[in-house]
Amino acid sequence: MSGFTKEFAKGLMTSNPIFVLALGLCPALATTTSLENALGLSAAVTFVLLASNTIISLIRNFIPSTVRIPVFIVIIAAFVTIANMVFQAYVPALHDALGIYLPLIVAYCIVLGRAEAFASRNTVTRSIADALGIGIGFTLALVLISSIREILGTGGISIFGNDLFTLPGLGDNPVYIFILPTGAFLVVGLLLALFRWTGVMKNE
Amino acid sequence: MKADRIKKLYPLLLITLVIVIAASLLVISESITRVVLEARQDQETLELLQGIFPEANFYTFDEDTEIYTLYNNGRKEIGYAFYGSDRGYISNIVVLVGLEDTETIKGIIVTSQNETQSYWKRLEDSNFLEQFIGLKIEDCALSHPSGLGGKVDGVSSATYSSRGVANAVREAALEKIEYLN
Repeated sequence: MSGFTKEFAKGLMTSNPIFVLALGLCPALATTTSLENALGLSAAVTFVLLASNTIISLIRNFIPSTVRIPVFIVIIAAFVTIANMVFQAYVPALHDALGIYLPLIVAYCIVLGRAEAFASRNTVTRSIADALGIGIGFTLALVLISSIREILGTGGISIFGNDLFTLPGLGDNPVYIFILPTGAFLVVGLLLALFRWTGVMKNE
Repeated sequence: MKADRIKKLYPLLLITLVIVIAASLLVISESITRVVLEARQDQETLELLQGIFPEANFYTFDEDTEIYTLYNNGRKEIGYAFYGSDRGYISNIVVLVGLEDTETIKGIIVTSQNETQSYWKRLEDSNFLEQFIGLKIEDCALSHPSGLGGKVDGVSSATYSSRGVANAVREAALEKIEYLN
């Protein structure tokens, strides 16, 4: 199973979608205003990645090159629509908070990119490993960014209406800029620089 | 020859098949989630109606007349509700009107408006909306300036908005009591 673990680990570190591949920055900036939103979106993205990678890899030998992009898009769009409907029915508050960024998953380069670059050329097991790795790498990155933004910007973290904790000093005087788009760019940019500088996530 | 034609058509056939399968999946998943969504919408509508009829426990909706009938715990009819709308100052004002019976208004809720907010807030903060509680439908018009014989006092500087609300209520009520009689 070393092939599986290798592909999985790649998605987490050396091919981390946000901090190494720099794909999916748009949702990373827009949905990380709170940890809850970030977790919700990452769950949806991971589901779409898993489902589309699996199906595309299963039928990869039957897709002629001329129609491969339309086929990928139809498959991805179907799963994104299912995810959107499930969110709307079972977690309506989160669905409204994520707004357009949930249906927009169809257009995220990371999903179509993995389908084209990996799932259409590799076995099902490896494609599943890749999807899990990229999905969880995306989740970890978004969790990191949103935790920083929410703690600094609101003084604490609250999930599903429950305040997990509030820092005494920041709770009264949160640094609002971190909840605004400016703060998003600051946090993502600084984190990117940090990871590059320390060489933690080496580019392949 | 035939093999050639199939080879040429194959990409088109494949993508058609993919689309058909994807669409079927979506139809199935939509019908499953629709049940949950409708249940929630019904609950939200009930909560909105309870804003006018606190004792309401259950409601039915007639698709043709577009009238809600409210029932209390003992399944007794306690009133009716429906939407009305009219033009305010710069936007359409939509009102949910509750009727105790075919003559008396139980209460109203403004569900949508896009008036100038500083003036609308004045209207909300005053007792304007409360005037409709227990009001007779025939008295549902502004008392000034038109002198239509109404009993609703408008909010000064927000006359158009006040008139819009009163008209929306009166017109909808006059239309709907035709069905209730």
